[in-house]
Amino acid sequence: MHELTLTQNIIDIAVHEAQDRRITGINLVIGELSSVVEESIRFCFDVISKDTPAEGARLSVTKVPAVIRCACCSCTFGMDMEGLCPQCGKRGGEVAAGREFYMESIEVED
Amino acid sequence: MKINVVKNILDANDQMAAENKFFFEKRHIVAVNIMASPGAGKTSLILRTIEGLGEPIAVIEGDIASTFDAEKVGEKQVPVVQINTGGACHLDASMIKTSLKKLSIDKARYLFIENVGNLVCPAEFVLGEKVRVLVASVPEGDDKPFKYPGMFSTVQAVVLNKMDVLPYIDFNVARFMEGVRAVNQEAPVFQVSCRTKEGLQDWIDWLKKIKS
Repeated sequence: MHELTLTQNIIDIAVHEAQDRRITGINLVIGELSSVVEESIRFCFDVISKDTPAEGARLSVTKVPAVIRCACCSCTFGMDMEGLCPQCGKRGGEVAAGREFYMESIEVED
Repeated sequence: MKINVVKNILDANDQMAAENKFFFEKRHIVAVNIMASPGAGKTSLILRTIEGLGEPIAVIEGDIASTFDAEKVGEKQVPVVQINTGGACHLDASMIKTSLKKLSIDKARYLFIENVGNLVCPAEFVLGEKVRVLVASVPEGDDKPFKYPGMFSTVQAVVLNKMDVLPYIDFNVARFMEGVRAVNQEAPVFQVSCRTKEGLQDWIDWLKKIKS
């Protein structure tokens, strides 16, 4: 979608947290429903991390699949069910996971 | 050495949205973020709402280019400001904050923010709104909630527009409702036609209800 802005945010947060240390790794968590395209982030990162403390850092992404919680029996299931609960057969629920988009941690040189 | 961060990538936007929210709440303004694909009827819904709500309204119009929408809204004699994102696919909290300086909003009880027509990116950027509303329309097809679950899961209300063309289009309302309920249990779905004005009263009543 707008991965250039997002990647700039990623670099800004990482550089701020690193406090002048060289960043060797950035660990991101991206949910399936967050509309964030990992490949675009990687592409943008290579370009705009140049000449920053994050240049050359390893970008690691943990993907979180979308999880729906049944409104009826509270069991959880995936998006492939189109909202149809495999336990009780009722349709409908709330998103329990999959909207994540955050920086879990960074790795810096000691 | 590993440093735990656990920070939302959109943290800067979230913080500015919180400032906007405080600004609106202090002035007792209900801010409504209206999202939809291009052509679903966001501007038409705002125009009909201005006619039917009977409360002072201000409008922020978001588009990539042009001032058509702001001109249409301006004809209704309500304060309006146009944001041209110049290519950006969504409005963000910073754009709203800047545009508020150009909008005479103090007398308004409702602020309608018409987002850029797009069912993907606006879902991620909160603006400081009290409620998020999705406008869908019959010609788009009944599968949209299944195709854009991220967007449908974040809203407090859905307006299904262009119900007047239902006889001419293979659109299964029950199927559409299943898609909405698959990811969103709470949001009311208002079936309306901004052209014939059918169904709009329930939408207006809901807007009045959320004010208190």
